[in-house]
Amino acid sequence: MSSLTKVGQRIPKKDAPLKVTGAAIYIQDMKVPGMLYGKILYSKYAHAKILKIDTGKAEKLAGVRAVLTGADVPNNFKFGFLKDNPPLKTGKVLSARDEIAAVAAISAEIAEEALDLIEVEYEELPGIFDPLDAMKEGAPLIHEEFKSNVLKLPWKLVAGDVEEAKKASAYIAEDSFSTQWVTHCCLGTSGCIAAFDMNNNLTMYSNTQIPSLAQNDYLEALKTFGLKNKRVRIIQCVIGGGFGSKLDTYAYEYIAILLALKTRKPVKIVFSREEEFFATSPRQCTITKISQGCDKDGRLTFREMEMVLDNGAYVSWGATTPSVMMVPISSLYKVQNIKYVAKCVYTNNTYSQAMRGYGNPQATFAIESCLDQLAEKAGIDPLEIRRINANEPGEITPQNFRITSCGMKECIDEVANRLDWKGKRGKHNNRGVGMASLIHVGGAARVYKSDGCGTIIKMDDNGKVDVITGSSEIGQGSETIISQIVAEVLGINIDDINVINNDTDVCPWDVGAHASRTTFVAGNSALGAARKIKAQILEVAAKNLGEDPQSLDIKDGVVFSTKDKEKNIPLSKVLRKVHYSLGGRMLVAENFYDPPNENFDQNFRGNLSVSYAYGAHGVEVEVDKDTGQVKILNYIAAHDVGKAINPMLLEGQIYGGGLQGIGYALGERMIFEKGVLKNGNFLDYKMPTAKDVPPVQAVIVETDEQAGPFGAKGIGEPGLVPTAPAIANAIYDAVGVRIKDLPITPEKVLRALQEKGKIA
Amino acid sequence: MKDFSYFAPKTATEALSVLAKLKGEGKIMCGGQSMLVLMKQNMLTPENIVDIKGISELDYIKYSEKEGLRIGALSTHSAVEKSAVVKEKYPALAEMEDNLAVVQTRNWGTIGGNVCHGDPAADPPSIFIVLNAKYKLVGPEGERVVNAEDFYKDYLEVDLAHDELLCEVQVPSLSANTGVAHEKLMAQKGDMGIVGAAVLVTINPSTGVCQDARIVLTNVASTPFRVKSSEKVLIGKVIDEKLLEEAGKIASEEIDPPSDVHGSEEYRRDMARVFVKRVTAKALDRAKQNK
Repeated sequence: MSSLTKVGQRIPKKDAPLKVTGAAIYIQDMKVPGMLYGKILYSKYAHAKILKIDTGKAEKLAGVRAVLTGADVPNNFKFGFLKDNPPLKTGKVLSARDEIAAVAAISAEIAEEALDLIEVEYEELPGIFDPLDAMKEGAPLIHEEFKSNVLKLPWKLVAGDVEEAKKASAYIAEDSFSTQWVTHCCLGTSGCIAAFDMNNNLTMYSNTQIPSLAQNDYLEALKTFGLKNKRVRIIQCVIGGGFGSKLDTYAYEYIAILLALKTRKPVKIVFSREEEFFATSPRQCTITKISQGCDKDGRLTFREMEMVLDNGAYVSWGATTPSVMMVPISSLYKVQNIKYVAKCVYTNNTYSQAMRGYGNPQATFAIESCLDQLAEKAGIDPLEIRRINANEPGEITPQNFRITSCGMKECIDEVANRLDWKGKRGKHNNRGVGMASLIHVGGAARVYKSDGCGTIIKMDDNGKVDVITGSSEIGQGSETIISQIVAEVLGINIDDINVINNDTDVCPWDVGAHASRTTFVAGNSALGAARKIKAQILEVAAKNLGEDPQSLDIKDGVVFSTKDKEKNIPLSKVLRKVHYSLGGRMLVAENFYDPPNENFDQNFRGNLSVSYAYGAHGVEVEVDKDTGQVKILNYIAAHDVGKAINPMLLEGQIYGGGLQGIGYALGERMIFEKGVLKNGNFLDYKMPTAKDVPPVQAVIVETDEQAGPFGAKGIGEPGLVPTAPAIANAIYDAVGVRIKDLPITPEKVLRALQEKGKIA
Repeated sequence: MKDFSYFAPKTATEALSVLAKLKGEGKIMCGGQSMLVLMKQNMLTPENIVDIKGISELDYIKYSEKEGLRIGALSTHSAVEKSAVVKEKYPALAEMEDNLAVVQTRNWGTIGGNVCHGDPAADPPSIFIVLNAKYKLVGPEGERVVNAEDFYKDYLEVDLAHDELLCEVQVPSLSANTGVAHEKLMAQKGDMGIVGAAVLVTINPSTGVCQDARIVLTNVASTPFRVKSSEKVLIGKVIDEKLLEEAGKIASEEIDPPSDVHGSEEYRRDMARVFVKRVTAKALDRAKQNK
């Protein structure tokens, strides 16, 4: 492995110059000839009857080409995970982000003006904004047809015998925790352009992170609209951040399609920043009851969790986050007896969706906060209880996860050493240290029937390589990682590789940029394709050099004999010879990699991921007892990544995840009042900025995952998983108050300190 | 954003004549860092914008012992922050600027624009009031000078007629044994303070008795809020921990702070107490060192 020249190098992102110079073409920049601009009218209320919609004045406005309402949606089309969401609503609105009408016009300004001319009469209805209220007997039904506000999704995991384990436990800690809505804050807002050709085939210019799945969704929509056997092509523009927000299809995309169909013109809808805040789907907020126990030596005996998730008014893939919450619940630390039940509940709030970590941060906040409480009861140092129970290679967890590589203990130790845990803990001088660990899928996650990704590699006559991959570049650096892997195998320069990754007409299938899977799956796919084409190259070069292919290799674009370095031929020459000879051929290879992981069975058992990512975060904080403000003095984020293909990009993922996690822990929250977002702008939604970045040390622990490309595991999501509990634990160490309700705002800390003062 | 007509006068005289012609229908823009946000949300929909950013004669920072500091309305926040004379003579002003928004905003936003916007959460007005600064305004009738303290009438409302222009902020020289400080409680570095305080303290060097104290709080009322009753507690006495606590407590009772997504009324009252105490202590410390 030491001979690697491309893999393991700190190579800047290939698309960095485009982005820093402003040359990158985002959906915001895209124009298609004849294009119209679409705008959406949203509901005034979170729950209301729509009595009347008058679009007459809007239709008469000069420059308006189409006005649509729910009545124009063919065949009662609905989208979403449970198909409960019509792109334009009729009869009733169920949330304040409900789409009422849409306009296409020759300019965005005219479309906006037309929205003001649409007259809607509502009859406001009382809403339900608390999932616990929605679960009460006799609560009004959000969707009458479903007969209950509790979604029929059976999130229940049972392993071992929790009741017996409770009896056998020496110590038990139990408490309740809750988490808030936060939004992705992509700098590139959502948007698309829908365009039909003369045969009603659809092209979508999009910033989706799931092109192949979105293609399916649109095909289904077209079918419902009466357009059967059509083609859908998705062209991705440069994507300004995903973080899970673009992991589903949304009403605005179907509205653009309907407007394009009606006007026979391409229609562009791009969200304003305000829309991006209120009309995209945030991370689920949760209410969690947890109980954990251990024996007298600190070994965990059981973990029991009950969770209520505010689903909002419609169901997206976000309602499946309990499946990923199960990963830490069943398998973070060694614990054999598990019980977990989660209920997703309809309310008149905004509906939630995927966001980096996919439920894991919410579950880990409860588990890791409660673990510190348990350690205190048992009189064991929180560091020791984590070391005692840490996962290890070779383990099979209660959900049947087969743990391969596992650097959890190393991560915990790195954190403890670099934080000076022994020296700093327990001083109660307004400064304190805390830590929390994580497990996440690190070798893809079989959520769908296929978890695969295809790659096609073709070489031109000059030794340049096109890598056509199904995977999406959403800013995470997949283009660079794939280039490094291919360059390593083929012995060529990174710059000789062109990655094509944004067109479903060209690119092979891929499940999407989710589950921290791209380096692992797309990397393995590209690795396989590169090996195949290398075999072809060596085979033809062998003929030219009169050598055995086994004794040949490629370095710096030259094929050479490993026995006799004098025997060599430039790669480009080999390629031309192959191409320009009688009966010539072109060098192309394809490879589809579908990892050997398993879907969950009906009891939620199965090896979801080929390998698991581990990490531990440690933080030193200082609490201002007068204001309640928490200052991060030092932050250590240690991650078992298998192998760092590119340490620079990997550190970027850790810094970015860490900072997103710090925002989640200390300040970010969407504040809704009766279902209406009150702080939908960057002035009032407090995302940490560059000026707020504390000192962060990213520590890379390499464990050489055998199934990963060059040993690598995923790192896309882990960076924000243990952040909040690590900070909450540090605050407890500093001033003795435990905040169980995120975010940990200064006001909450101050109130808790005042309460404590009263008791003391 | 609604459409508007745009005027870009190059001199103060020209600006005044444009404003006169628009008869109250003209809105001055000077950097637009706060104004454009309101315009984007259609909370402000001016028919005519008079952009004075091109009036270079108003872009200056001057200082003399006798006249004190003169800041032209067009001086950017960055210019104030980086000015050597500001750093030397009014370091609290430079510190305040360092925590004002982000560098892009400071590079484009101006002192004149900021003080005329009339936002009770803005930092510069609070520090100008404690520094006993005056604003020089010009109009068709000529010049008038108002105390910064008297300039603020209500939320986003200032004592500036539709045909007047704020040309200069005049800050008197500081007497010896005077200390000034400004701090605010921030959720993000550089954002509007949940509560902020600017304080000036002058002491008698031999007795240590407080001769003058001026305390202004931000974001606790509809205008920058001068807490005179807290000042009274301090003046004529040697300031100690107990007095500081008392001054803070009085401030927290006297204000009528808003309750919003950033903090409840109760929290703001509490923070007013903390910041009056803290920032006054800091100003006092500086007063002791400025011999």
